[in-house]
Amino acid sequence: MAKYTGKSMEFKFGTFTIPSGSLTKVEISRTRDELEATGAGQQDKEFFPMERSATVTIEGWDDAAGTIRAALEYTTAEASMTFFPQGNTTGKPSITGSAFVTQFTSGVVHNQVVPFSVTLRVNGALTFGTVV
Amino acid sequence: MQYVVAAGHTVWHSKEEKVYREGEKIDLSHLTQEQIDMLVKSGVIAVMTAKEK
Repeated sequence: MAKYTGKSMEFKFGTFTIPSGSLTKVEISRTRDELEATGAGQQDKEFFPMERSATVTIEGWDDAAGTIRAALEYTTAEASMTFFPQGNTTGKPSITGSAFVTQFTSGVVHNQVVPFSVTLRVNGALTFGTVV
Repeated sequence: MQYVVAAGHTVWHSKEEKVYREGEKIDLSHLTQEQIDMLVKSGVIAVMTAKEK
C-alpha cells in the first residue's frame, strides 16, 4: 500500500479555491449518533446506531488582503465543497458535499505568521469519488 | 468511444466541476487516451455497450 503526503491537497468551497501556499490542514470528521438501549440484567451495553454527520476543519495561513476570510466567513451561504487529498489530478480521490461555515477563527500573535481556522458543517452526505 | 461511470463508482469531472454517478454517460474529451485507459483499467470508467447506447 502506497502512503502519501498532503503536499498536493486542494480544497474548493463554492467557486473559491484556497490558495495552495495558504493551506496547511484539512480534517474531515465523520460521526454516527448512537442511542444506548441497555436494560436491567444486561452486562454488555447495547446500542442503536443512528444518523451520520460530518464536519470539516480547514487550517492555513491568513492573507493580508482578507480574501480567504471573505470567501469563508460565517455569513457565507451554503455551497458545494470539494476536497482533493492528493490533488485535483486524474485518477486521484475526491470528496464532495454541500456545507456551510459554522466558525472562522484567526488569532494574531506578535512576530508570528497569522493562521486561520474554519469549520464547515456538511449538510447531507459526503460523496467519495475519483477525479477524471 | 463513449464512456459511463462504472458500477459502484462516483467521479468528479474536473472540467465541468460536477459529480457523475454510476451508469451516467460522461465526456472524457479533456483527457488523453492514456489517462482514459488508466481509468478503465482501474474500473472507475466503463466503455459504453451497444445496449447502453
